Amino acid sequence: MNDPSEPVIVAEELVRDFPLELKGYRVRAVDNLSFTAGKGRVLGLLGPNGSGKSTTIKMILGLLKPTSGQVRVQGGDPSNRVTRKHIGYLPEAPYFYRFLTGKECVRMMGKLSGLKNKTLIERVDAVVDQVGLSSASNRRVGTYSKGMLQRIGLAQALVHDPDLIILDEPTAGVDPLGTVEIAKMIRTLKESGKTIILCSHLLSEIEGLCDDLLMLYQGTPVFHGIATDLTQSGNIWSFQVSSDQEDTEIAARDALESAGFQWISSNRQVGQSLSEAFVDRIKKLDSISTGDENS
Amino acid sequence: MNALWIIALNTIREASRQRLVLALSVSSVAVVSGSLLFQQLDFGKDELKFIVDFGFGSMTFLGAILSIFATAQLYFSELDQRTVHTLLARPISRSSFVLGKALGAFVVVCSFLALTATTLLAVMLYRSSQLNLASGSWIGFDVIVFSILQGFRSAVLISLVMFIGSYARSQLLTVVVSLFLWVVFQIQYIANSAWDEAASKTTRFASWVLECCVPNFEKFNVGDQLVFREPGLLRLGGLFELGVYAAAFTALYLTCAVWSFNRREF
Repeated sequence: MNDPSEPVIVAEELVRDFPLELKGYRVRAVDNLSFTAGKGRVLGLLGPNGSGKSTTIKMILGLLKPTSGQVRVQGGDPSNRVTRKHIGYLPEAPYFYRFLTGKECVRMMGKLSGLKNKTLIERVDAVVDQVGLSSASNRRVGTYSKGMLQRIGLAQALVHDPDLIILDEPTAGVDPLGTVEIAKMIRTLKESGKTIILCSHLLSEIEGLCDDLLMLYQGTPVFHGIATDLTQSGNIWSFQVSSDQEDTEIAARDALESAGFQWISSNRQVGQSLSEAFVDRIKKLDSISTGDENS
Repeated sequence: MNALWIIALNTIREASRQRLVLALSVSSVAVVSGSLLFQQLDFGKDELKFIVDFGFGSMTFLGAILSIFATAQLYFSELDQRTVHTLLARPISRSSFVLGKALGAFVVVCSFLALTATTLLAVMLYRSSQLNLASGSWIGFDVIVFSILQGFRSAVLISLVMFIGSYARSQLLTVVVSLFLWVVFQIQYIANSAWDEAASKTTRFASWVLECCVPNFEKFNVGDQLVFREPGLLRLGGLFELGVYAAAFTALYLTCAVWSFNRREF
């Protein structure tokens, strides 16, 4: 069982200043940030541009040193390379060596993480398959679309089976179908006990995935806690019902009001949302083309 | 250690696809092969020395240009495209990154020198057979010795570029400063000999400090000694001595590069 009380990341009073060109002037990117990320939990890192999300991630990775305070990953200092063995990182808008094939790229990152021989081959094949790039894995990365780059980025982050996975905008440039698949992958990783830090601007995607949220504003934490504590305050209930008949709306409204609910609004949605329709249509096309290939 | 080799190998792969490396290699082969055109001037036996001089010039000048530009490009491509973030997030030390990049660049420059030396030897063999010269009259061994010396010089230059790049914010700055220092290294001996003759102890101390920090690249300019059999001909002991001299400066600059890169933030 995952024990959320067992912290994988412990950040204490992190402060990070950046000196400006003008002598003596400094910009504070992160100010007095303390948080923990429990084992097997998905922590959503939210905030507008310039709120200190990337700086925080870089401090967790040991790429930046805090001006004051400290961050520990599984009890170790992330600037120590042994500590980084436990971390998998997908950077924002990942760029990889254009001259390598997708598989070579993942293999290289696996080797750098200490994988060898049979384990390396098996892990590379497994993660490339996991991100759905098996058919394109022998193509050069330079020919990949933005979505494929994101997927190969995810594969290299997972190749050494890390305990902590940091995903910076994992769905940027990925089509809706790919977004659904990545969300599914994040859930699977979480179920297997991985701790995930998810940084995204697309709040609707984060909402269903995160157990905990850390919201930053101008480098300062404005919320850190369980996601539902933020989103479900005020006991607002939402029902989604469907019916083929025109007059059922009034009956449903009467029934809910008589049960003590206050009716706020109703939306008549013809069919599915655009996103749902898109995903359904592509899945159908995929199943047809797979069927064609098989036949 | 493993990470160092992986990064070095990747650097070589990247360099082999760079237009700059290809352009300089083709230029060098063209310059050396082009020296054959001077047979119209009918130098006779001396023509071979002329060809060798041409080849040595190509190795010295284009080799230095390649060492500076290719190293800066290979290093800054990692920074500009942010692949360095993905690499340094792995369990590798920063020194592995710096030394791996330097080793990769060194192998690339050595390949360039080997290509130029081979072309030069082929041109000399062809021309000596045309001129019906005895095989011992041309100086094939000296070409190999000279290319090894240029390899030593390139190792110092590459480590210098890595040191400058470890704190510089742009590739342009790294290239400009490296080119400037390359010229300084070439003329270091002038300042040193002038200061050595000075009576003042302070000036002599300054001369000693300069000698310790700035390599004297004139030591590697032994083309004339080799080709024209001038006095002070380089013997095996001299070659070893120059190797130690280059290794000491390479180690000094690489240590500074690692120290500076360890403090760099991304």
